Amino acid sequence: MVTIGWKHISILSLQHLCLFQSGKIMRTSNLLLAILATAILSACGGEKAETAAPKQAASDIDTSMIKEEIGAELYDRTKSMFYAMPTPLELQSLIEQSGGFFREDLLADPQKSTDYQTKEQEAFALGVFGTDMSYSTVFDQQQDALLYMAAAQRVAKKMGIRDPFNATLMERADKNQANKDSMLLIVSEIYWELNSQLQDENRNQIGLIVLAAGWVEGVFLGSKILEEGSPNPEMERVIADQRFIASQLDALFKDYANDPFIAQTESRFRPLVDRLLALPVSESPTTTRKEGGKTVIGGATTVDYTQEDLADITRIAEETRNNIMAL
Amino acid sequence: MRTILPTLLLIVTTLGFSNQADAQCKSFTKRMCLSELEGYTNNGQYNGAVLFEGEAASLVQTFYSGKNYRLYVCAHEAISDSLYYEVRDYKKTLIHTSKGAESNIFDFSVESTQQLYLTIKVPDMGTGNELKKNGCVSVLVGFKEEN
Repeated sequence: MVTIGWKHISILSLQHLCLFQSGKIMRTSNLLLAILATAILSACGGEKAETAAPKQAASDIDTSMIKEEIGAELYDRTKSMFYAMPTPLELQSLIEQSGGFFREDLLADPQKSTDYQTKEQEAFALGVFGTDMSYSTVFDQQQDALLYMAAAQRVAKKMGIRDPFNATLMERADKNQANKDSMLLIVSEIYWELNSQLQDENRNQIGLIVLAAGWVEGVFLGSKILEEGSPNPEMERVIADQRFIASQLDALFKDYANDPFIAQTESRFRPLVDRLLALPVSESPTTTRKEGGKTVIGGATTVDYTQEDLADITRIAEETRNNIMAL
Repeated sequence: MRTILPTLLLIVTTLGFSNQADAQCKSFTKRMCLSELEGYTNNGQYNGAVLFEGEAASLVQTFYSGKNYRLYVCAHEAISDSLYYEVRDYKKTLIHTSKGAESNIFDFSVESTQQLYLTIKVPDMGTGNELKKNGCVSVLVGFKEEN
């Protein structure tokens, strides 16, 4: 999200706290460090420290439209802009709804959760284990869900992420494993806590990579299930629609282009993001109508695809997933 | 040394306030907002920030066909009366506004998967800078299978 005075860019709902000054964005931590250094040096009568260099601007893709919509003046005073990357729960739920099935053989090995050592490997592993936890929960395989919850907890602990796997939530998961609805609620709470802790601690780039890895795992699982099952246009559509998520990820990677961690990890996701972005999109006018107390939004955009496109996406998703989980 | 201590104190206080504000927003969202998603699965995203008069926040999100969604913009009472939000499609067509509506809840579904743009605005009420009203704003999204 983006601000006035300070702007805030949230990833998938992970926010990246920034400061906007004279049209430049500066990360909060950098600015505060600069203020601290300047204050100490001036108070001691020393030379003034150089202020931190401005960081990257918000994504042109998404913010340009918002800027036009709300007007340049208000935009410059816009507090926050969230680029909401979905959590894996929603994608897994769509895969189930469109006739997907559970394939344990596709899941990552939870026993390897302690083998991931670098910051990059840990972020990838947390994302993948999180999606496997969501997938198992949605398909009512709660024993597996608990295994992946524990694997995600082990990785998260090494990363200093404790809120999502607090004792109360873990205990509730243990007690409610027979109840799918309760488990879904618990998994969504885990993601909510994960997102909010990383936002509070200004570690949004970590959150971005965790969710990106989780998304790759989701596309991998969905496309492999689609490949194995009988023809399923509904699930094909779910996979093709990942083009929208790819565009959000693309915008986020651009936002964080100067971040060393993103610069180091982005290339792993590029082939899948770019392949999805290559799918053409048809447009039609948006319509709205009321139906049973809700608004139904029709028209807008449709992603076009061929069977070759889907085969290609399946192959690239598998390669990407294997690449990020390789030790 | 006489000047450094107050300066450091100010910085520590500022840092503390920032973290405290974030923590308070999270706590506010848990206590006052999440229950409005009852019957829906929370999508797990945390979008919360403190907004002042004259500020705005935006959200870009993908919504899938085949799901019913509930969008709820939850705001602290200090700004909830004046705050409103708008939902637009990719071509900026206005789809929904909470301006003049009784509730900040928007229940909807999309016939084809698409990105929607949400803008939340807290109008400037002309209050002096030091008195500007502010409060936590959280955007919550829940989903459930379409009937």
